[in-house]
Amino acid sequence: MMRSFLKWTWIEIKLFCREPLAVFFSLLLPLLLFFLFGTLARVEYLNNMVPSLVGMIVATNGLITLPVQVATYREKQILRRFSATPMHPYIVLLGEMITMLAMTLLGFVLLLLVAKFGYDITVAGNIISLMGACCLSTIAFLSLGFIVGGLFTTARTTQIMGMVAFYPMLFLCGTTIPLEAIGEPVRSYIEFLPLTHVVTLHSGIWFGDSWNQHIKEICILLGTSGASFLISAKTFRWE
Amino acid sequence: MEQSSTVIEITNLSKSYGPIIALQDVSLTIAKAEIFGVVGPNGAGKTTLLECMEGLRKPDHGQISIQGVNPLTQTAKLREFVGIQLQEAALPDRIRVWEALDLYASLYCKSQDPKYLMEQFGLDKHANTPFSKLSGGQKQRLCIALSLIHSPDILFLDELTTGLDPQARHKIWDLLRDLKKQGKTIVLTTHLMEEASELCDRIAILDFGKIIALDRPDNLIQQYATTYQVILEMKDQSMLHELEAFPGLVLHQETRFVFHFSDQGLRDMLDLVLRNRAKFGAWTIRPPSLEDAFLKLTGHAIREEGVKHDA
Repeated sequence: MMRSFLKWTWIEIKLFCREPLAVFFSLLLPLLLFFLFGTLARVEYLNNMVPSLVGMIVATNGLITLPVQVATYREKQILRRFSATPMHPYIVLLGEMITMLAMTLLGFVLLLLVAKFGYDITVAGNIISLMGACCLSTIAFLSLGFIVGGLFTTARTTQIMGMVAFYPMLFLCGTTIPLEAIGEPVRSYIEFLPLTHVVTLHSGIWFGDSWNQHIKEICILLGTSGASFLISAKTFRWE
Repeated sequence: MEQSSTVIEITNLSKSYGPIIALQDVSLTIAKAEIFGVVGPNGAGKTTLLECMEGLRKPDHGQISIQGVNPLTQTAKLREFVGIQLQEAALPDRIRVWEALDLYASLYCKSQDPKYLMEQFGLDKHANTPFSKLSGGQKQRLCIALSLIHSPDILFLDELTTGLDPQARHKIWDLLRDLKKQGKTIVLTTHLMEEASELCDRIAILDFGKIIALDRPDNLIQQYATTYQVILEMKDQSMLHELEAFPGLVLHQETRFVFHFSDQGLRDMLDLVLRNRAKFGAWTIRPPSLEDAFLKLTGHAIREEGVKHDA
């Protein structure tokens, strides 16, 4: 069982890398944006870029790439075909999740490398803590992704609904416009969007905060993961 | 049929999807090394019947035993000796042929060597081809190879030759005949009556969820299709009146006549043809076929999709 799970996950990683759109949006676009802002913006602003762009990768992978992939597997009867083998379709989804987690971390590491070697920007905080924050955020968003990916019959609808969830967060949660620039009335609402807490947690740890200073964000992200898994287990369509 | 050779036994199987009845009180037995065909119009319940046997769908009533195993309660056990090919080829677009076989081989306790299967199914030259780049016939051969990876005793194949060209279809038929020789039991659905009569030992005709006939193809033809079709091409108009008065005429276009006959009518027509040989150009007799029997049993009306799951 372990052997087939590892094999499937490895195939998933290869399939991801063969999908030009997925590679572009999850790995290349954040780097391009970094280069773009790197040429345009002042250096002190660039320092804020990495946490914001990590937020963007996390949200793209969680709300669009994973749901579309899952919906495609359902639409093309791939989940059904696996349920006709000894491998449970849960394993298929788990492999998908591990793949997306690995790809998010890869995107993050690429960003760090570009920041370090392109613009001589280094992390003030602990790099291991940053990785931990990235994993926690990714798991929260992938679990949200299983809700989106489980609701609609076709990949097309899933993609549109994923974008409907993605774009407001992209603009409101500090990934494109800095959180400080967002006015007071909206501020109280964006507390309800999980991406806000991803960006807050990442910036905090980026600038050297300890985990203790971010108990609130950690609890919210853990809560989001738990609740979303429970919801998606109830609402997931297998066919 | 000997009791000992029975591998599949279905009794009083029923299944509905809301108001739509997919299967009604279906009972049948299938013997070891038999190729068993399930035919019927769209929405007749063919796929549902297969899916119930595969343990992918839960029937409302009735029992199923596959080599003594209950597909619903002993699913894990069933998976090890049953091979399945779904109606749609279900693999990711960019997975390569060898990756798919290698993955499926890892899913089972015992499995065949993927290399050997690739050779046997003529896929060795395409080991590195992505699934979406394969031709229809290659895709289907890969799907059969995947369903055979754990050397199952029983194979369920849902519309496996739909959309294939005659060469690819005949190749797959040969493969299935080989599998039968190896003692494997095959249950298949098809829309092609030629395929059903060429390949199947016995055929169940399903309509509105019920088995309306179940027999060997030749028996079905003998029992339900008695009409011979005779097509005559005349060299001139000299026998026009005689032919127009002949019972059984269904079509007359200039020098072309089409007749439908039972045994006696055919004998009279043959007499006429042989006596006036010089006046006839081409003439052909088409014996009754399974398609005639099928249409006689299920009617000519076009069916709406009865059940969503049985496209």
